[in-house]
Formats: sequence, structure tokens, C-alpha cells
Amino acid sequence: MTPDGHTSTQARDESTADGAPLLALDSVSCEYKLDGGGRFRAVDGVSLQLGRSEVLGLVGESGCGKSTLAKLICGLEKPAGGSITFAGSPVRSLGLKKRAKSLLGIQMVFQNPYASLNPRRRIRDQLEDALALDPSGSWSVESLLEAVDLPKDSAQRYSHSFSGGQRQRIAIARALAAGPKVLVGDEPIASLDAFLQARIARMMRDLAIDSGASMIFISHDLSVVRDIADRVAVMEAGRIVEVAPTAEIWNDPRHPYTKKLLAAIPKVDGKGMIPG
Amino acid sequence: MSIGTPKYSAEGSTGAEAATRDPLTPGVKRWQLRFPRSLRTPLGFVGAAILLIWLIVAVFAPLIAPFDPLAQDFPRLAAPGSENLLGTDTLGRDVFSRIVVAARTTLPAAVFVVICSAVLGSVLGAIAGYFGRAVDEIIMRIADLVFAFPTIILAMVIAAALGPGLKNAIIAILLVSWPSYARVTRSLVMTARSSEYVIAGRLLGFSAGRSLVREIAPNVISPVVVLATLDVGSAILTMAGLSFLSLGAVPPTPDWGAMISEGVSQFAAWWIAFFPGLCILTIVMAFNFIGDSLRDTLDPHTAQEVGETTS
Amino acid sequence: MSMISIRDLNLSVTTGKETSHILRDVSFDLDAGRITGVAGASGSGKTQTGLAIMGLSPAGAQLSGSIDFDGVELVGMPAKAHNRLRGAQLSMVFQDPASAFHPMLTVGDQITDHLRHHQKVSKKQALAKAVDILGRTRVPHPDEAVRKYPHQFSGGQLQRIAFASAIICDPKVLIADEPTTALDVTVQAGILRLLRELCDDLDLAVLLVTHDFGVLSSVADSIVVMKNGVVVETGDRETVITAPKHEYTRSLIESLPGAEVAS
Repeated sequence: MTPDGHTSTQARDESTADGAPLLALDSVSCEYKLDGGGRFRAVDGVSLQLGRSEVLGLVGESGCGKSTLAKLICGLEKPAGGSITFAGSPVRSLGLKKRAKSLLGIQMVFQNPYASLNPRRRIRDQLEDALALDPSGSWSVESLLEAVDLPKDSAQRYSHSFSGGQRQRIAIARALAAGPKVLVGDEPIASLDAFLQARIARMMRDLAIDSGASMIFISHDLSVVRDIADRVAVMEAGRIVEVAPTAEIWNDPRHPYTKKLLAAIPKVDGKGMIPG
Repeated sequence: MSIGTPKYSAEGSTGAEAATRDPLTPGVKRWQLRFPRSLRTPLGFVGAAILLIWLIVAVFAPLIAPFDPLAQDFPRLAAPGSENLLGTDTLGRDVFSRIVVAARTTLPAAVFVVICSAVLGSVLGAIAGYFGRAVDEIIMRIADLVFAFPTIILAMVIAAALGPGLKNAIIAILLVSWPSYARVTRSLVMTARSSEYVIAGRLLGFSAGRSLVREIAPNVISPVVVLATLDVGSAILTMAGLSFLSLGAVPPTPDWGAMISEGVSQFAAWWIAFFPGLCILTIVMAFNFIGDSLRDTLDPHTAQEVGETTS
Repeated sequence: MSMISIRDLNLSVTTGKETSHILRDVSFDLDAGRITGVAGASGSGKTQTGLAIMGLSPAGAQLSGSIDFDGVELVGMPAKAHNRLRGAQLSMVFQDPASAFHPMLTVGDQITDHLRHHQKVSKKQALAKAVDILGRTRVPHPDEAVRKYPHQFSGGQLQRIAFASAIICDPKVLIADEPTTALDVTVQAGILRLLRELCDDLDLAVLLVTHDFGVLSSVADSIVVMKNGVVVETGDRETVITAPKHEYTRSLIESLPGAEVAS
């Protein structure tokens, strides 16, 4: 993070003012070894805060490191530097260990709904695994399915009998069932039809907020993020280049990359204008 | 829940999701091991029929066998005829009775040895594949060691060291046949381990054991079952081979391999070796047919499961 | 006068006892120099319409109705005759450029393969034409690009190469099936601009299959909306997007992000 970038981030960052943030990333970085022997910095000094009941949109193009960042938050990658703190406890990389109880409040919805459900277990079994984690017991398999707008008999079925959008809703239900405090969506809508994307994204937001969780919603699609996020962080080449409330990002983008991203979104106005 | 359906169904009425299945790639069928369905293919049916006949023979052996398999009551080396249906051997024992009674030891022993080596091999393979690193190295290098020898020769060496006998033959075959299961299971587990549904489970706090048993096992078991079915035939052959070399069942216990071994020195009395050989052939064929049709019915499902992700 | 005229096209596939109708009485035209967009959710039959034109309908599919290509009837055409047209006069670009190329062959070999097959030109001439076409589709350093392998290019560049490969035999019809779906937004605009240029300069009849109304709004001249194998609405771009007649079209457009803000 460049010094001036940092200050502008801090200056425009107001929503986390109340007390300690739920999730805090402090100059986190992550490196991959390349085949040639070199190292690739996928995430480079990222500092971010997520407040309670807040939806943070994380936007960037493929290869910018946003998925790696999601994995870091869930402890699925080992950071090369920096620290991640969730509700006061440090996030350690999971390795082959059983996940620490204190970190079970971070749950994830994956990009590919065709891979994120176990093809050989009934939906009910998969949801019940997650329900076992939630001490409040506010959900049941039936209420979860109802919340994501699926028929009750879905519980007895296997994932292959569902469409991509339906599977993603099941994945959302499973993540919610665990009673998360932070729901991380790693491109949860990228493999869905355009007509479904906004709908699933709004559903995720509503369910997360209603159940008292915060959400980090990762997407390459600014127009969907605009619909559901309170704040947006724009990521480019492993760095966060701009963080601001959604309306500010949309109406008054400061960083050239944010401007470029915004300009590339095609408008559905029927005017035949190619963006950019 | 207070989260009302109308909020979403307003847009849901687009029917954008209505077509849940692409009609061109018929949906994946129930994943379960569909043995009955598998057996409906012509070859599978033939295999199942042969196996059923042999099971009946094995179960009712005392009723079917016309004579005592050990009694040396008949003229030596009598050709197949009306009294001794398949002739008699060098000691004047009825070949037909011996074959029927031998089915009682050969079949259960073969199935037992295959189940044991499949369980041992896949558990070791799963541990190697899941934990990787040193565990993986140790298990798989031992497997390589076994692979380095021709199966029958290593089995011979082990059986010879332990001494002849059916039990030792089973141990020998078990020791030489588990590595192929370990190999297959290891690679399947390695693929499954990094899949998103396993990671999702781990985020829910599953321990390694629970991940392996609950999430991974159901997804890797069918190839192992197919392999095991195909392996029953070769287990019977190896056992027959050990008996042939006098390392298996101890005489005078009737055993197909031992009978062939006895028969090869008696060229004129072809029936002594021929009929046990025929039995081994039918059994091996039956298991191979069943294994093949199992693979054909199970594998396309798995292939489709993978292929679906690109739709 | 249309380059391709589809009339009452029906496609059904029989698997076992069940027959599923994938297309029902589909009718629309593709005109030279115009981009016709086909919109619909997955499973609406939009991709199958494109494949039917290419003669690539799945095995066991029953096709009826008419696809008239410049006076030639494509429905019921013998496979060999269709093979001669495909790649030469009818060409196609797919969604995922990364899997559309053979990883072990150079780009030059792959984009000249069908040129040499259809037009009996020498390898040298073919390669010269490949360099020319790659330049036209704005692949950087075309003379070096022909000797490179697919993994050395980014997704956007590969899609440009796919377009080069599609137009190298001077086709009359180009079918682009979700050509920008796998690409980043900032790359998407460039590909759309390329598609527009190729269509205008080469007088191509383009069929653009997509689920993205943003893409259609940018480049399509006319729009066909499909649902469950049936065409529910056809019209020019602006009318379909700003004043959709059919309920389904309206619901699709309203379901897009930001739509509630706009209305």
C-alpha cells in the first residue's frame, strides 16, 4: 500500500468507527512459488476492516488476488506476512488441522456451485453438518430451504438434480446454517446466468444481514456489487487501490483503475454504445 | 423465517431457472452403486448368472457332490463316464466331487482376500493421499517395493517363507495385492481433497477423519469397487498358482489349482487338469464381466459429474 | 435477401423413451453486415440454434423446418456438404478461448489448418494470410504470434486469435457463442469492438449468443429473445431493450443489477 493510498483509504473509511472491527486485515501478503523458481505476490500488503452487519464488496479482475484474499481470510492459505484478526482471535492457516472453534464464525460460499456441494450426500446431511455448529439453533433444514426459496423436498435430493442457481442457494444455506459472523462469497455469482446474478446476490445480502452476519462479497462485476455492498474495495494486482462507500465509488471514483472498471460496464440502454 | 419469499419470487417468475436440466446431457442418475442395473447389461447378466450357479454349487456342495471327495474308491485315472462324470484322478478320487467341494474353499477365500486387500489398500492409499508429505512417501515407497516384483513370484516367496497352507496363501496374496488399491485410492483422494465441497466441510470444522469418511469416501468408493470385482478373478488365479506350486491348500484338501498341478503330469488323463481349469476360467470370466459392466455403468456417471461443471 | 433465414426450426432429442423438444418453431433472419443477438437463460435453446446452423446438432437429434443459407437449404443437408461449408462459409467462436485451442500446436498451425483444407493454398501463403488476419484482429506482433503456443497468450488475446481463425477463410456467417463471458469486463469491450468492426468491414452475418443484455445493448443490431426453445420476442435493439413487448423479456431486463435504480 502506498502511503498516500493508505491515508486516503483511512480518511474515507468511516463505517468501522464503532469499536473494534469484526474482521481486520493488517498488511497481509501472500506469495506463490512459480515453476521457474521465482515468487509471485498474489496479495501484497492488504489492510482492510469489516464492521458488524456490513457488506463489503471486493472488486477486481481475474488474477488480481481477490480469491487468494478470500482464502487467506478463511485460513486456507498461509500468509507470507501481516496478520488477520477475527473477533479478537488471530486467523491461522488451517493446514491439515481441525479448524479452531473461534474461527468457525467465518464461512465461505464458493464460486463453482457444481463443485461446492458433495455430489454423493443428500442435501439434508450437508445442511445438518453445518447446523450442528450453530449454538443458537435458530435454523432448521426446512427453514433454511425456505429462506433460500427452495421446496422442502429438496432436502432428500442430491445436488445433481438442481440447476446452478439452485445449487448456489443450497451452498448459501449451508454457510448460513453454521451461524457465521462473517460470510465470504468468493465470486458466488460468476458462473450463473446474468438474469440470476443480481437475484442471488441480493438474497445473500439479505440473509446475511438478517441473521446478524457481515459479508465480504467478491466479484468482478461492479454493477452487482453496487446493488448490495455498503462499501467497496477495488483490488488490482494484489493491492487494494481504493476503498470507499459504494455510492462514492460509483459517483466519484478516485483511482484510475476504478474509473477504468466503471467505464467498461456496458449500459443496458439499447443505444449501441460499446463501453470504454 | 421472516424473510419473505415474495421478495425473490417477483424476479423468480422469470423462469430463468426453470430449465434445471439441459436435455442434451441427461442428468446424472442416482449415484448409488447400482448393482442390479449394472447386471442388466448382457455381459453383466451372463457374469451374474455364472456366479449365481457357482454360489449354488458352493452352498449345496455336499448335496451335489455324488461321492466323498477324499475317498479313493474308484479305479485310478478312469475316463469321464457314466459313474465318474468327469473321471477320476491318480488316486482314484472322483474329479467331479472334488471340483464341487473345492468351490467351497476357493470362492470364499478369493472374495475374502480381495475384500481384505481392498480395505487395507484403500485405507492406506486414502491416508497417503490425504496427508501427503512423509506419510505419503513412506506408504507409497512400500507400495513401490511390492510393485517392483512380479506378483506371483513375490506371493511365492512369501507363501514359501510362511509355509504351505490356505491361510498363508491368503496372507501372501493380501500382501502383494493391496498396493494397486492404495495407488488408485491415493490419486482419487488427492483430487477429492482439494475439491470445494471438502474444503467447505473443513471450514465447518471437520476433522481429517471425518472429511475422509463422510465427504471423500462416498466419492471415491466406486472405482475401488470396480477394481476389486476385477481383482477377484486374478486372486483366484494367484491362489490356483500357489496351489499348483504346492504352496496353497495342503493335500488332500480339494483345490482347483492343486488339481491342475496334479493333472499336468498326466497328459493322457486330460480330464484331471481340464475341468478344474474350466472352472477357474468361468469364475474369472464371470467376475471380469461383472467388473466391466460395473465400470461401464458407474464411470460415465462420474465422468458426467465432472463434465457438468463446464455447462 | 437475408444471408440466413431460419423458418419453423424444430429440434428434438430422443433419449431412451423420452423425447425432449429443444427448439420449437424458431424463426428469424441473419443479415449480412448486421449482428443479431440471441438472448436467453441457460437451457433456452440459444446455443442449439447456432449449432444447428453449423450442422453440429447432437447425435440423435431430429431437425425439421428450414435454415436457408443464401439459397442453400441446410436442414437435411448431407454431412459431407455441411463439412465443406463449415469453417469456410460458416464459422464459429466459442465461449472459452482457453479450451478452444490445441495446447501442443502453434497458433499459426491452428488458424491455417482449415484454410489449407478448404482453399488448397501453400503453407507459406497460408501463414502470410494468418499474419495478416492476426493483425486485423489486433493481436500484438502477429508475425511472432503465429509461432507461439496458446498458453503464451492471455484470454482476451486468445479470443482475438479465435476470431482470426474464424474469419481466415472469408466466411459469410459468424456465430459467436458467449464470446465475452469468460473474459474480464475491461477486456470485453475490446472484443465487442472487434466483433463490430469485423461485422461491418467483412459484411458478416453475425449471430451473437449471450445471456448478457449489456453485451447485446452494446453491439447487437437486432435481438431475438428465447425461452425454453421458443422465440418470445424479436425486434431491433433499442425497442427490445427499452420497450420490451413480452413479459419474459421485461422480467429479464428488470432482473439485471441496477435495474431498480434506473426505473
